[in-house]
Amino acid sequence: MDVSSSTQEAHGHASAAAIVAEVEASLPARGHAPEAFLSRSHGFLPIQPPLLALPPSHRVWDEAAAMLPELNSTQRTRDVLDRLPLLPADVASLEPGYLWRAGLMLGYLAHAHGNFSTTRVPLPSCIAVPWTEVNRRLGRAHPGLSMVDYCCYNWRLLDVAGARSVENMGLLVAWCNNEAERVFMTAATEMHARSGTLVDAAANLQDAVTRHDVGAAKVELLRVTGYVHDITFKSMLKIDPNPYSRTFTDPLVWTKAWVPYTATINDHERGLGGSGTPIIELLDAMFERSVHATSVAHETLRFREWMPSYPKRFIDSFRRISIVKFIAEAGDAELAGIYDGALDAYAGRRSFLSVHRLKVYGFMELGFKAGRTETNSGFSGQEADRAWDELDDTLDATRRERHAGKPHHCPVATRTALVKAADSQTSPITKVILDIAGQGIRYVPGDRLGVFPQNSAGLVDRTLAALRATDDASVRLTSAWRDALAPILREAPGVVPLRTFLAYAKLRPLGRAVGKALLHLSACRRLHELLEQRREDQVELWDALELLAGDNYDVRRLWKAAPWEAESIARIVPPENFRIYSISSTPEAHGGEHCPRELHLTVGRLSFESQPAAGRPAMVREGTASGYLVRGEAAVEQPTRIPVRVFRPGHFQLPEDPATPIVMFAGGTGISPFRGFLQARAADRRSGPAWLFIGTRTFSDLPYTGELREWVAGGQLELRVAFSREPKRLRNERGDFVAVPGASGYVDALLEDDADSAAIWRLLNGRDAGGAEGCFYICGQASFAHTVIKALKQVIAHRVPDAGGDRGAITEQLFRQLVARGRLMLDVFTTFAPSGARTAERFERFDASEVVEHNNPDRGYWIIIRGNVYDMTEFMYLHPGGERLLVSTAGMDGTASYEKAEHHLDSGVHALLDLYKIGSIRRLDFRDVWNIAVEPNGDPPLLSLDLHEFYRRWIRALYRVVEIENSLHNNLSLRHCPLVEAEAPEAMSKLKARVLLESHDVFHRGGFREVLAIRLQTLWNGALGICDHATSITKLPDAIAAALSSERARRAEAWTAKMWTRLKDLSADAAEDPAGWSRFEHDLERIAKADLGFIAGMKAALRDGLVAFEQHEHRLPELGRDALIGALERVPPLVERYHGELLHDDA
Amino acid sequence: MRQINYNVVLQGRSTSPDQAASKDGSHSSIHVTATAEHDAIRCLEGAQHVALVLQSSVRNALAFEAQITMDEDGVLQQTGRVRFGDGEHALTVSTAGQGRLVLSPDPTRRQGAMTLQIDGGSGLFAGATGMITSNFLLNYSGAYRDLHTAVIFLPGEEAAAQAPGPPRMRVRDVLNEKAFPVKAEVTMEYLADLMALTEFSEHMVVDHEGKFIGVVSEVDLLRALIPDVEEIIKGGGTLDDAMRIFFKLGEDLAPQPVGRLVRASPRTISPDDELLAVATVMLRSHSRRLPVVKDGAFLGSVSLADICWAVLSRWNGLKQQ
Repeated sequence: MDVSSSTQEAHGHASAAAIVAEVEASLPARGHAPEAFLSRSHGFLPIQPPLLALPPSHRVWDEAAAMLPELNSTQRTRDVLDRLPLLPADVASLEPGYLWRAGLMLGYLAHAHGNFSTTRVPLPSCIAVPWTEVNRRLGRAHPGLSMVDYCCYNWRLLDVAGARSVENMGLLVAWCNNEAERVFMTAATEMHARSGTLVDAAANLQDAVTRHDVGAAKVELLRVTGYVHDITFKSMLKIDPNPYSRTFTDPLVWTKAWVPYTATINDHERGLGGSGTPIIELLDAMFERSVHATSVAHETLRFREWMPSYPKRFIDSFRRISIVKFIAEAGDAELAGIYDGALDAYAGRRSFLSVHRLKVYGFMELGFKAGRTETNSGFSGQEADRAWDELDDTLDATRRERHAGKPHHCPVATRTALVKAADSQTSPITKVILDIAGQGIRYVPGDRLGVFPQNSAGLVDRTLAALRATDDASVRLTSAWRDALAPILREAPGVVPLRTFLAYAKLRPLGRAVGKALLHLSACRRLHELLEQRREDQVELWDALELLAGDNYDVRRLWKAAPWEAESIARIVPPENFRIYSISSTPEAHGGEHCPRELHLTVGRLSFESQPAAGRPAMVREGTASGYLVRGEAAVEQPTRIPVRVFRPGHFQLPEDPATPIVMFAGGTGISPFRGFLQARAADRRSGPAWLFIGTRTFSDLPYTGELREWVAGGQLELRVAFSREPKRLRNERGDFVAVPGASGYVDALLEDDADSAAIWRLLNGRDAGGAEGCFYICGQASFAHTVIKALKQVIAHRVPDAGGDRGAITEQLFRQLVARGRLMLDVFTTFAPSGARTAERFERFDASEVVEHNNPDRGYWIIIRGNVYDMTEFMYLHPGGERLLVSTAGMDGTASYEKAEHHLDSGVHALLDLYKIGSIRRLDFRDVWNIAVEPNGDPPLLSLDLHEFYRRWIRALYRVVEIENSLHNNLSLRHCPLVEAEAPEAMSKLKARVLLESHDVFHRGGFREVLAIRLQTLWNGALGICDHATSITKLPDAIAAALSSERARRAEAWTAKMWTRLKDLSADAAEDPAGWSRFEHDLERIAKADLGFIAGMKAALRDGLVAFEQHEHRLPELGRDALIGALERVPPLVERYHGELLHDDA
Repeated sequence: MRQINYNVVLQGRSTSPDQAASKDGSHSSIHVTATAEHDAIRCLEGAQHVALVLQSSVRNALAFEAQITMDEDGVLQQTGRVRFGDGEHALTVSTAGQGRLVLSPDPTRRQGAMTLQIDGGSGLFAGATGMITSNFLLNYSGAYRDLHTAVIFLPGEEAAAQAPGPPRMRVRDVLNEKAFPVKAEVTMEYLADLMALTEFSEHMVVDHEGKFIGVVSEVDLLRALIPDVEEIIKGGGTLDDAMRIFFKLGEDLAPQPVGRLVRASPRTISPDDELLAVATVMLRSHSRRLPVVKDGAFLGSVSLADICWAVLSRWNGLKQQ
C-alpha cells in the first residue's frame, strides 16, 4: 500500500473511495439515511427516488404541503396553517426513513408561513415544534431548509422509467408550482442527478493521485471536465428566460411569486444559493480553493455547517490531498493541460461559474428593477444604484478566487503544415494544421480555438524604428504585463527584449485608449486631430509614434521609463488578446490516448486598405491573427509554438442523437466548423442526413472540394453552392465537381429552388407537425447570417399551411421557437471593419429624443450601446437573456448592462448585434457654454455647470423615467401570467392582485418619489442656472410639495391604502362575490392606468425639454429657456392629475 | 416690486396739427397711432418680462394710441394707451403736468415733449405704475415719430434681487494681465523656479502667437514626480525605494519640457463672466487661478485672491500700487 494513503488512514482519515463504499454498503430502509446521499451511481441524489408520502399518521403535513400553491393563490396560508394539529416527530412516532420528506414538507410549510407577508409572526407550534425535532434528528443544530433539501430531495419522476431530467421531473412540494419554480429547482436537481459521474471520477482521481498513477488521473480529470460541461451547457441553460423555449423560466414570475418564499426565516438558516450545494463544495475542494475573501465566499463557508455528514466527509477527504502538487511533481505536460482545461471549465472566463454569473446577472437586473431590494445573500440596494452590479462584481471576484495559487499554464500548439484549402488567387483560404499532442487539449466539433497571436517581424521592425530603438533594447514590464505573459512564456519576467514585448503587444489598430494616453503625454496636435476625427482605427501604433516624434516628443522615453512612470510603454499599450477561430476538425479523426493529437483551423487572410488619416498615407494593413497563422515569413520568436485555449460556445454543437438531420449554411470560410461536423458525421454510421449550403465568390474559392466530393459521393452530404461573382452553378458529373453556366447569386437564392425549399421546410418542421425536426447552423459574417435568416423565414412564410391566421405572425412564432428550442445555432464572426470605412456612413444619426419613444410594441424596441442605436425588436427573441431583459433596457442607453455582461469581449455577440444596428447618436455641439447653478447642501451651495454636463443630467433623468416605465410594463404584464400551478393566464387571484398592488407600492414609494424629489430638483436648479437667474429656486419644489400634500393627494393615498384591506376582505373564490371582485379588478386597472399615465406624462415633459437641447445646442441659454422651464412646470399638474385619476370613481 | 426699463422708437401717423384745430381756434386735437416692432425695443431691465409679454401674442410688436389736445400756447395734454402684442397687455397713460409743442429747426416738422404717468395696466402689466418720457416729432404730412423712455414698476416678489446695490463687477474688472504665461517648451525646472518666484500655483501655457493652450499646476508637477508605488511594490520594491525613485525622477524630469503635463481644454473664463460664477468654478475644481480667454487669445488670469480683493477691499487702492 502506498505510504500517503496509509498515513491518511493511520490518522483516521478514510479515502473518498472508502467513504463511498461505506455509505453504499449501509443503505438503510427506504434508502434515505439522515446523513444524506452519496453513491458512485447517483452522486448526491438518493438512489431510490424521494418518498411520495409520509405515513398515514403524518399525512396531514403532506396534505397541507400539497395545498400551498392554492393557499398562496387565495392568500389564506397563515389562516390554514395555524390550525394544523401538533404532531409528534420523535423516534417513536416517525421512522428515520421519513425524516427527509418530513423535513422538506415542514420546511416548505414553515417558509410559506414565515414569508407569507413582511410582517413577522412567530411560527405556530404545530410547525415549529416538529420542524425543530426533525432537523435535530437530521443532525442539524437548528431548523432550516438546506441546499440538499432544495436540490436533492424535492423531486419526483413523471415517467418512473425516465431520466432524472428537467423534462421528466416535478416537485414534491412547491410554494407556487408554476413553471418558473419547477424548471428552476429541477434544473438544480438535474445537475445533482448527473453528479454520479463527478463522485465516481473524483473518488478515482483521489485514488490515482495517492497511487501516483498519471494515466488514471488524466482519465478522471477529463471525466470531471465532461461533467462540468454537461451541467453548464445542458442543465443550467435549461433555466431559459426565452418565452418560446420548452423550459421557459419567466424571471419576473420567479422574482415576484417565488423568490420571496426562499428568504430565510430564522438567523441560522442560509438563503438559497448555489455555493452551498455539494457540487460546488466538492469542486472547490478538488481544485483547492484557498481564498474566501468576498462576501459570497463568507456565505459559502457558513453553508458548510448545513452539509449533511456523508457528502461532507466525502468532500473533506479532498482537502487532505493536493492535486496541484501531484501535477507539479508528475511533470507531465498533458496532465497539466488536462487539469488546466478542467479548472477552466469550472472557473474560467467561459466556465460554469461565468455562465452562472451571467444568468444571475440577468435575473437580478430584472428582479431589482421590478422592486426587489435585497438578495438572500445579503446584497441590498435600490434600483437606481444598480445594486445588482455590485453582486455581479462580487460573483466575478469569487470566481477569480478559484485561481489563486494555481500554476501559470497555457497549452501550446505547434503549427506543422499550411495547406491550401481553396485554389483562389484573390482570397486564399488556408487549412492550418496544429499539432496539439501531449498538451491536454480536448475539443468537440463546434468548439472554438483561442489563438494568442504574435505580430509579424515587419510590423515589429517598423514599430522599433518608430520608437527610435535598437534591436537589443529591452523594456521593464508592469505587473499586468507580467501576468499576461506568464502563461505564454511559462515564466513571469521583469524585463523582456523590446522585440518580444512588441511581438505580443496590441499594435494594430491604434485603439482609442492608447491614442488618448499618448495624446495625454505628448499633447501632439496631429494626434489630437486624428482622435477628434475618430480615425484611430485607420492607423497603427507606429504611425502614432511617428506623429509624436515629428512633434519633438522624445519617444525613447516610452521604453526607457520604468513601469512606475507614466510614460512607460507597458502602461500604455496592452497585450494582444486570444483571437477566436472555429475548429475545423473532429477529434475522433486525430485520436490520441487521452486527447486528440491534431486540430485544424480554416483561415482566410485578412487585409484591407486603410484610409489616409492625419497625414499617414493609405496603405494595405493586415489582420494580426490571420497573418500570424498563415504567414510564411518568420515571426519574432518560436514561430510555430502558438499559445492556445479552447472555448466552448453556449450553443453550437452537433445534436446528441446523430440521426437528427443537420442543415448548415456557410459563408466562405464559414465552412470551418462544418468540416468538423461532417468529419464527425461521416465517421458515424448512425448519422442522419446532412445539408450544406455554401456561398463563395467563384468556383475556385470553394474550399475543401476534395472532401466535399467524397461526402457527396458517399451519400453523406447534400451540397448546394452559390457563386456571387460568377454566373455559374455547380454540377456533379460522375463524382466530379464542374462549374457550368448558370446565374450568379447569394445563398438565399438556393432556397428558391422548389424541391430544396420543400425539403428544408420538412427539416424545419417539428416532428409533431410531421417534419424531420433538423438542427440548423449558420456560420459566417453578420450580413451572411442576416441573409440566411431572412431566406429561412421566407421558406416558412411560403410553406406554412394556411390556417387562416396572420401568416407573418405564424412565421415569426415558428422562427422564434426554432431559436428558443436550440434548433437554430449561430456562429457569427466579424472581420475588422474600421468605423471610418464607407459602410459606416450609411447609418443614420439619431437624437436621443427619438430613441426614448421606442420602448413599446407599437414603436418597436431600440437601445443605445456605446453611442450606436440598435433596433432590438427582432433580436429580443434571439437574446439568451430573454425579452423581458431587453424590454427593461429599451428606449435608453444599455451600455452599462451590455458591458457588465461582457458582451463587448465576445466577438460573436458583438457581430450578431451588428445586424440590428440602425445608426448612431448625433453628437450635440455645446461649445464651452457654462454657468452656475444652485446645489442645495453643496459646499458652496453653488456649482459650476457646463451645458454638456447639464444635458447629461437631463438625459439621465429621462432614461431613468424610461426605465421606470419599462419596469411598470414588465410588472403589469404579470396580470397575464399564471403565478401558481393550473392558473389560467388571465385569471385574477388574490396572489396576483397582491403582486400588482405591490408593484404599485414599489412604484409609488420608489420611482415616483425619486423622480419627483431628487431628479427634478437637479434639473430645475440646472435650468435656472443655465437660462434664468431671476426665477425663484423654490417655485417648482414648492408646487410639487403642494401637489403631493394636497387634500386630493391624501385622499388618493388613503384610497389606494384601502385597496389592501379590501383585498383582505374579498372572498377567496371570485365566484362567491363576483360584484366585489369585479369592482376590485376595475380599481386595480385604474391604478395601473394612473401609474402608466403619470410616467408617460413625465416622459413627454422631459422629452420636450430634451428636444430643446437638440434643437438649440449651444444657444440653449438664449433660446431654450421657455421650453426647459415649461417642461418642468408641467410636472405639478401631472401630479394633480395622477391623484385625480386614482380618485376618479370615488370623487 | 420689479422694474422694467426700456427705450423704444415708435413710428406712425397723426392728424396734422393744422387740420386739427378747433373751430374757435383756441385749441386743437391730434390723434396719434404708432407702432414699434419688437426689435426696436431696447430693454435695460426686465427684458424677460417684455419678451414674455410679446411672445405670448401673435403680434410681436408694441402699439401706441393717443389723443393729444393743444392750446394756442402749445401746451399739451394727452391720454393714451401702450399696447403690447395683441393688446390684452396694456398700459394706460396720461400727461403728468403738461407737455409742450414747439417749432423745430426743420420747417416741415414740429417737436414736442412730455412726461406721461402710468395710470394703470392690464394683463401682465396689471398694477403697473411709473413714468414714460415722450419726445416726438410731428410732420405736416402726418408722419409721427416718438421716442419713449419708460421706467415701469410692477408688483412682484423679486424686489430684493432687483434692488440696486453696488455695481456688479465682471472678470474684465479684476483680471491680472501680468499672469506670467509660459510656452510648452520650457523645462520643468524653469517652471518650478517660476512658481517659486511668482507664488502662482498655476501657470497658463500659450503658443508663440499668444493663443491659449492649457494650464499646468504645481500639482501636475508633483503628480509626475510621484511614482506608481503599487508597481514598485509588485516588482518587489520597498517604500524606501519609492523615496529614492521620487528624487531620481526629479533629476530625470527637470530638463524635460512641461508640454506633457499641460492640461489642455480646461475651464476658461471670459471677460464678461460674473465673479460669483468664477469663484464657484474655482472652489468646485480646487483651482486657485483661472485663465481668461477671448476668441482663443490669452488675456490674463483671475485668482481667488483677485476676487476677494475686488469684492472686499477694492476701495483702498492697495492693489493699484
